[in-house]
Amino acid sequence: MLTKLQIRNFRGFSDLTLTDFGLVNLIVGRNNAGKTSFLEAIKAACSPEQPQALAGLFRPSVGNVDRRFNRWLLRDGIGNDNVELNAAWTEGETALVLRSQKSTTPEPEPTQPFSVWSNGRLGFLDRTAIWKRRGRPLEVKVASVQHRVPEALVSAFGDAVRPKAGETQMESLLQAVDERVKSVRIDFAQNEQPFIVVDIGLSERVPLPQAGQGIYRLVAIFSELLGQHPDLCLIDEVENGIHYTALPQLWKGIAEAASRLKVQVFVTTHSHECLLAAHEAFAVRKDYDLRVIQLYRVGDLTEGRVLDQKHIQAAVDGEIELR
Amino acid sequence: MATPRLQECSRVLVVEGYSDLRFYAEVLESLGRLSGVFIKEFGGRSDLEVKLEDFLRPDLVAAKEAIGVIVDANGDRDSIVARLERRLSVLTGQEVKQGGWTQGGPRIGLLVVGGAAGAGEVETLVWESWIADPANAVAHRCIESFVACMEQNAKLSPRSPEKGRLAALLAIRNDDDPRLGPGAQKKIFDFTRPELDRLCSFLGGLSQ
Repeated sequence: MLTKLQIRNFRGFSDLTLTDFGLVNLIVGRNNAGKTSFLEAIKAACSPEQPQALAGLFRPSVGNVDRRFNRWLLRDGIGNDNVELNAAWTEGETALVLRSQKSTTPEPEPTQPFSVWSNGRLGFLDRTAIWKRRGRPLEVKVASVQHRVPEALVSAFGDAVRPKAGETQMESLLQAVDERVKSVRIDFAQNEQPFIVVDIGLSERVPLPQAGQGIYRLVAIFSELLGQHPDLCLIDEVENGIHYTALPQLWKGIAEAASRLKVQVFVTTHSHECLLAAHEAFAVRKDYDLRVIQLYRVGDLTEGRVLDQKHIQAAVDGEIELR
Repeated sequence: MATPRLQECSRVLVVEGYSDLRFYAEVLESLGRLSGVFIKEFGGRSDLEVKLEDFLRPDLVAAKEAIGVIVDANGDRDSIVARLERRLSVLTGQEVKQGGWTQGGPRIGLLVVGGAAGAGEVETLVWESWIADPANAVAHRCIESFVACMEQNAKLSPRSPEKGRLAALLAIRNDDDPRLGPGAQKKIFDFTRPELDRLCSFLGGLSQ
């Protein structure tokens, strides 16, 4: 499990160190507080071998990736200070240092996307930055769950249920949150793309989007977890497109999957109902393994803290806004 | 009047519960100091220090001009004073002392209220101020007779002596809701009484 993350000079973070993460971590904060940047920091720190995967992962990224995306990984105005991401994992620590220096000669325009990343070197047009790693690399597999249209979800679902164990786990997890679910399959119709159908006890299987928003989102999440077997799962704005009444079901599923599959989950949200649903889902479980990570701005700096069960419960009782 | 929003108010008063919120709002209104004040009630006294840690987030503390905390002394005044002084000092980085305000920023105030003997609740303080007014002497005797009758004949005593007596008064004067806050909004209490000077002085310190 990720136990500590220090972020220096990365995006809006000047120097933030957070510890005491839980199995499931709900990241809250206002717009521009750094929630998505926090996920990007985790992704970069824990799987630096794929830096090019960062662009477009949580934010739309079009055009020149260096100019439109990479340049903004460095906190604005840091001069020659280093960007540093320190991650402590249960089995050890690692640090990534992005050494940023003004180039004597401007970086040439990349001829193909991400080419400047190929050897750990990152060009920022007029800057040079090199990722360097201290300590042994973490063998951490990170998956991110993004919103998928039904057609795109089919492929991820297929990967997840191809092994028989994956199919069994998918159905078992879904039944844990909705006992109507008997089975989930890929269906084919003439002249149509394959699509996912769910047996919920009706006369025939229904297309997945017809089974409810919560189930749809859970199939997407479970597909990623069962297909990729990650150590860490990152989900940005988990409540998007989901009515608040479906959130308890969603969180019941996330809690169950994280526990059974031993995947640490980091989720961002803007929604108070989402926070309440997460708290209630964990409050009835044997182990309350939820943390709320609050990110907020004090002046120009992004700061944060991690809240445990005692603080989350007190905030709910006192109707104290945590977002 | 529209409910104030925390983000839009430069001054914040933290109180224990809903009745307290309505009572202190009424006192502030009588002092002409309610405008620009957000009163946050914690839904009760349980986990008070944890709730303060939750609520007094660094960005909120940095954004306000003044933050006051008023809680009841109950039976453990010295303990609650020591605990809250320590907790507020840690949370705000200032040396917070009960009964006054720091210099800022923001200014932080703490008041632990009770009766003249130090213990009890805000109801104790208000009851003592109400019975000190000669105009209330007859009504006071009636309430004492009622309480004595309940104790002697029905073997029932109020859990909190002053709160019970105040509720008996308000059951007649404001039968919709015989709690302190709603009673104060019906202008039943005189906030100019000298017994309430310390409270009013503290609340006045929210805005300087």
